[in-house]
Amino acid sequence: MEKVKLQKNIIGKWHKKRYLLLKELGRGGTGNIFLARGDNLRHYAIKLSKDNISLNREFKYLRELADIAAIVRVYEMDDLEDAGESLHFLVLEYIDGASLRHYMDRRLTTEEIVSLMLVIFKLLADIHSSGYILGDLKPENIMVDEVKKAIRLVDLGGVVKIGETIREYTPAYDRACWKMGDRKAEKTYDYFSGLMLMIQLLLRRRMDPTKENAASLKASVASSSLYPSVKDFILKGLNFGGEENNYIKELKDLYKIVKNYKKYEIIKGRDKALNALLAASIMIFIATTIMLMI
Amino acid sequence: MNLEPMVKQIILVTDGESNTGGNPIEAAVRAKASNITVNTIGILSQRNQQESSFEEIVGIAQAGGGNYQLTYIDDLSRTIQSISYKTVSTTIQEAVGKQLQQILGKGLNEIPPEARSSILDYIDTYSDEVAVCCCLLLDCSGSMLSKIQAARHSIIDMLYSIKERSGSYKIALMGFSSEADGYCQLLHGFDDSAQQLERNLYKLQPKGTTPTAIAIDRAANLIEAYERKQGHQVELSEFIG
Repeated sequence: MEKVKLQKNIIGKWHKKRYLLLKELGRGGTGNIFLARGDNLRHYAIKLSKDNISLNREFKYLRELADIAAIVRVYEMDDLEDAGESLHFLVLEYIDGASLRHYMDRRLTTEEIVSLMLVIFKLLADIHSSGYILGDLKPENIMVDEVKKAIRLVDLGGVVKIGETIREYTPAYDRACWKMGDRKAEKTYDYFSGLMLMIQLLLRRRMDPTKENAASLKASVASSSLYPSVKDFILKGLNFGGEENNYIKELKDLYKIVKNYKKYEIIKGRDKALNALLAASIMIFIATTIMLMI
Repeated sequence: MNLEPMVKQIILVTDGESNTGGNPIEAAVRAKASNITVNTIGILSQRNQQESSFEEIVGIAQAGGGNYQLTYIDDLSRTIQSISYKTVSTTIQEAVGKQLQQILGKGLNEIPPEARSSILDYIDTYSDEVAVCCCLLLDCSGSMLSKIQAARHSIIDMLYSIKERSGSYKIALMGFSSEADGYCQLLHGFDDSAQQLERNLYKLQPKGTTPTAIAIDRAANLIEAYERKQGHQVELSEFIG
């Protein structure tokens, strides 16, 4: 990719649209992503790759699933001649924010995590009802737009038709690596990845199926300080596949419960403060009595 | 006679350079001449390793018309699958490209993206359906000793995953090391059962040298013998035309 330089324009071979590359946003398996500015002065994310087939597949799925709001918008696909070599690029909506990976180390509240998972399971349901399985669900592929308070799925490289084989996966979210199923593209494959994502966000640590197994993972969830109903939801989900509608309904219920827990925590906190105050006043009372006696 | 075309590939998995038994680049050229693509996977050590020790791996893949990738042993299964898929789709893309050149006088990249999209879509689907035979060559020299357990897991994992593919995928596995063991050991033939392979994998004891060239030649012979037995006589380009 010799011709691709920052602060230089690229012009599409077929549609003749011009984009100024501003900075590199990241490197993925299929290509590099750049922040770019179009002639209309709007910002875009440009995915540049040598791999014609992967890029074309992604373009196709982005178009087919364009009705789903939580999936990144795609504007066009074009070629770029670079020193005799053909490169291909997608022009995508630019999301001003960070990926969910970035939020792993930050303290998201249980309430925030549960509501986020509700959005993600709804997104999975929408993809499934179009006849596809997402495949490679992982925090790096989910961008959080803090201004619009929305999430966007930015990589459809792992999408396959229901009934086919999972094409791309990441061990921590892949049920086959955890020996909890195979790589057949079915709804339950995505649910498993969703649950693993949820566990990572809640426990705030990375998981590695080569260093731990399903039993030790369940044990570490069970012995954590998470709310009992959150633990129940995860452990139940890991033990059997379940139906999508159930997951969404259960997450909704869980959200209500978690919200109430928060109130409960405040009351509990207030009680603690009152008790401390009471204990302190008794101490002062005893101290003054002793002082007076002397 | 079998009229179905077949994509033929060798995937070499090694953590270092060849040190005995001829020039592996020449062996890769020979394999390519028989329409067998040679791909390479370089296993990185957990310590920061100089990428320069992998120059040979890049050279073999280039000479063999294939792809190369550097990876850690934990990620071997996924790397084998992605490199295998990539080679299959590249092989088909090249065959389709040749046909287009003949019919339209244009290469794939000279067709506008909208029209090209449906051709690429066909290549993508066909890549999952076309018959593939792949010989995995696993470096079993002394330096692989610490990684062999993870390599076993990866190969078993890959075998189970590949079963989900819609087209047939025949796989053979050869380990290569010292002269004392005859350089190469066939651990799994194209028609053997997966259970047998699991047992054979556990017999594997890495030791000795790295005769990469000999291993590539033997793998190519194995693939050609299998092809003759199956009676595959159609080259991909003829089929797609």
